[in-house]
Amino acid sequence: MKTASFTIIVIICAAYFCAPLDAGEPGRTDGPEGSEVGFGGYPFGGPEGRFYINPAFGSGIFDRNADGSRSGLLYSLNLGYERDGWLAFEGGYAYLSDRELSIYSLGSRFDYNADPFVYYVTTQAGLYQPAEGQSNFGLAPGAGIDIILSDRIRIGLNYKRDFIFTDESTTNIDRLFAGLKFYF
Amino acid sequence: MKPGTCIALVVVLAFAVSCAGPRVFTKGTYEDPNTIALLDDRFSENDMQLIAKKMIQSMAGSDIVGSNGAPVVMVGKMRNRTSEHIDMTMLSDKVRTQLIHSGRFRFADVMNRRDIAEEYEYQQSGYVDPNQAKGPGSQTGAEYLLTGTLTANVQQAGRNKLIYYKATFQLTNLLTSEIAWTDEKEIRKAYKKRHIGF
Repeated sequence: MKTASFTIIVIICAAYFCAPLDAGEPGRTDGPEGSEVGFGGYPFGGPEGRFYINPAFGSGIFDRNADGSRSGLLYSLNLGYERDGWLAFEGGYAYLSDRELSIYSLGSRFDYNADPFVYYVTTQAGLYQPAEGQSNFGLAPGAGIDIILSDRIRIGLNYKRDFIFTDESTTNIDRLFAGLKFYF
Repeated sequence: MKPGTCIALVVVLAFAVSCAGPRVFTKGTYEDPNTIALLDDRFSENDMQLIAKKMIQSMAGSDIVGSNGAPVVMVGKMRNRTSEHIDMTMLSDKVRTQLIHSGRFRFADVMNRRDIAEEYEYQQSGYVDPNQAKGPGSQTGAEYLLTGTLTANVQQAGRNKLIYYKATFQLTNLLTSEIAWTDEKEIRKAYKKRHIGF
């Protein structure tokens, strides 16, 4: 059911965001007197601030170096606010199937735009909550590459390394997933 | 090599490759010059167009254009009293061109007086057919002197900046030295600082 819901969300988002971005008519100087008021800006950059939703699907390996470690499917959904085209704040939820582990995270993303690619690094702090047992705090630095498909859609790969701090030791998750970013 | 390390290396390598080499302006396109584009906080061609538009409309609709036909105007000094380097000739040329096209004003050529005088001397020197030679004494006398001043005021606090321009144009009657027409155009632009790169 989770996979089906996830797929439906992705399809709905894709249908909505495939519509071209309506940037509005730019202002002109040859209109009636005063018609230029309120217009201006920087036509080559993106919007100053915009929200995005980032569904993703991939794989996660819990404590890769331990005996019996295996990979599980990973679903995640991030919501973020991108400002100034290079800095974004995001929060999200991820679910690692084989461990039944829910990850709630908050963090930031730093982009470098080399059109049509966007390279970025992320830093996130999160709460790692298994289906049974106690929750733990962790940190998850990561990096990724997006391909700009349109003003509103990017597709990309992302890698995250989770450091989960427990009472006894620190365990890791390696997350590798592909996702789409839909910008509002 | 561990898969995680390998992926990280690929990302870093791709990042490094994309950053390598000089970045140059390329992929240019022609744009409509009347579309507003404010890339920085300096005086732009859009400001010039807005000033020119106001002055042209105001001059063309003024009482100076009477029943005696299109008055002859000479373009005088256009003063830039802002701290920016602004080509005021660009502004006066635009106003003059549009007014000539309107048919409501005629303009005396002030800029090329020296060349015209030299040409008179040459044509009167005997090299040119006397029936076709042009000489002094037939020029049209200007009735009005067009001058203008551009001033600016800047307010800045933190990330916010307000830039105010005021352009004042006037036509002076050369016979009476009265200011026969004047008008002004005020422009205020608001800017907010933002990052332009990583």
